[in-house]
Amino acid sequence: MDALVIKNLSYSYLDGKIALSNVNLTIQEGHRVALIGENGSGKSTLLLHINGLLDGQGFIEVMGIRRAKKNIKAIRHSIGCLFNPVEYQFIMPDLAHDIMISLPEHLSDKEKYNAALQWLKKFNLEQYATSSPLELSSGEMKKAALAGILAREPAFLLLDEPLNNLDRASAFEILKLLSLMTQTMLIATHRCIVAEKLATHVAVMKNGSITGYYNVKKALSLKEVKELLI
Amino acid sequence: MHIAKLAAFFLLLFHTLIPAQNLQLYVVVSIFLTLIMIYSGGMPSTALFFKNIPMFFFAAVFFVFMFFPGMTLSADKFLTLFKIILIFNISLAASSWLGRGGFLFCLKFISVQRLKLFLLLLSRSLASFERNVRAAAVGVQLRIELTGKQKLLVPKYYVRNLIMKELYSFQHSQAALASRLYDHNVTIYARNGFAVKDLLSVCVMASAAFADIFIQTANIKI
Ligand SMILES: Nc1ncnc2c1ncn2[C@@H]1O[C@H](COP(=O)(O)OP(=O)(O)OP(=O)(O)O)[C@@H](O)[C@H]1O
Ligand SMILES: [Mg+2]
Repeated sequence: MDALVIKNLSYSYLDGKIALSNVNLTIQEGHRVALIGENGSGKSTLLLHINGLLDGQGFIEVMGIRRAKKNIKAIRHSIGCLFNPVEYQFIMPDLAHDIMISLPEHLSDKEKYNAALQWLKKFNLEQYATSSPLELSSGEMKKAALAGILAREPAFLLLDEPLNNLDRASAFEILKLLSLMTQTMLIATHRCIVAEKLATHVAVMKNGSITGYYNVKKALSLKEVKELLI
Repeated sequence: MHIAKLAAFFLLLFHTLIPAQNLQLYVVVSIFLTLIMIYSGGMPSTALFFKNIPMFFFAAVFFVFMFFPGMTLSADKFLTLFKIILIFNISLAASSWLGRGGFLFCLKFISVQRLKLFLLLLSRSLASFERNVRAAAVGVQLRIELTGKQKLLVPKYYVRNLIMKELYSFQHSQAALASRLYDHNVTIYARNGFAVKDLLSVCVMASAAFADIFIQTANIKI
């Protein structure tokens, strides 16, 4: 099955700036796709469309569900999204409660709290369970946000620059954690390591359109891909 | 403990709102109790100063209007100013005194999801605004050497940027709500901590506020 189908998607921001023009992209279930491209090429804008937060012209289907107003909850249910300015992603005043909103509804409050602590432990953040997310360092913030998203166990992950601000050890840890998961992923990134260690495919974005889609082995042998990664 | 703290907080609020018969006692008790709350809440004095900046503006505006021709100066008006500043500081102090645990505990009793979310976002944006103000203050000091008149440039550019940034951040918060909370409810598991320090401050505050309310309303002369 295709996890994501996008056809002829175009979008311009309110100020008239064309951010996406005729995007076509199909991702199979279980694939992990690195979305690469220069600054301002439209990667974040594309992720926001998949999540239904922006509404450009075109066709989008996520996990077999077509984009339409009545389907938006179902689509969001299958997606976990890590935004780029990550500090706005937190809703609750402390970390444990922030993860609790991602846990299944049928659990009791106490069970949720304990499960949240388990998730924090996975990311070495258990000592911050009662701290405010805004008091964390930027790398810790990224990890905490990621924990909050993974706790919901969505079928499709949209990750906008997941490794920014992470130290070497945390970056490798998170890559390992993500690579053990079976979810479909679309990862906007500038990092070579994401392509090497995590991605199965690479999509190249330029001036608001997808200009190439390769499997990772092919991609890493191409000059145009290598030039976009650090 | 959260309930006791909340009760003491409301008693103190009530105390500041009553008409004062014995002015000196009223002022002393109010300030004393607010200070107890501030110091047992553990708010550093620099934080207190920064959070009080809006109040300085407010008081300045108040004075400008007070000395307008045609306005009469009266003790009453100063008392009102005092009360406003006091209530602001009590709420401030209460936020750190009750802590995140207390805040969550209060939220637990609100059954309307929308109201809960509103309060959450409000506290969130206040926290991030304060954080940004501090970051901007550091940023300004790093980027320009402030001498005399140049200080006026700061409000001109940075305050505007700061406000724009906050407005822009609502968009992000909205996106977060949409993508993380599409049909879930906020659940709260409030831990009920207990500390001797808290118990003491609650007792002192409640009894002093109560005694003063009694003295003020019964109009006992001391
Ligand atoms: N809120 C906005 N209003 C107006 N224009 C915007 C807005 N957000 C982005 N843009 C513009 O849309 C274009 C695409 O932006 P986008 O954020 O999608 O790029 P990106 O590929 O994610 O870049 P980066 O690698 O820097 O994250 C940019 O030219 C940007 O200036
Ligand atoms: Mg981006």
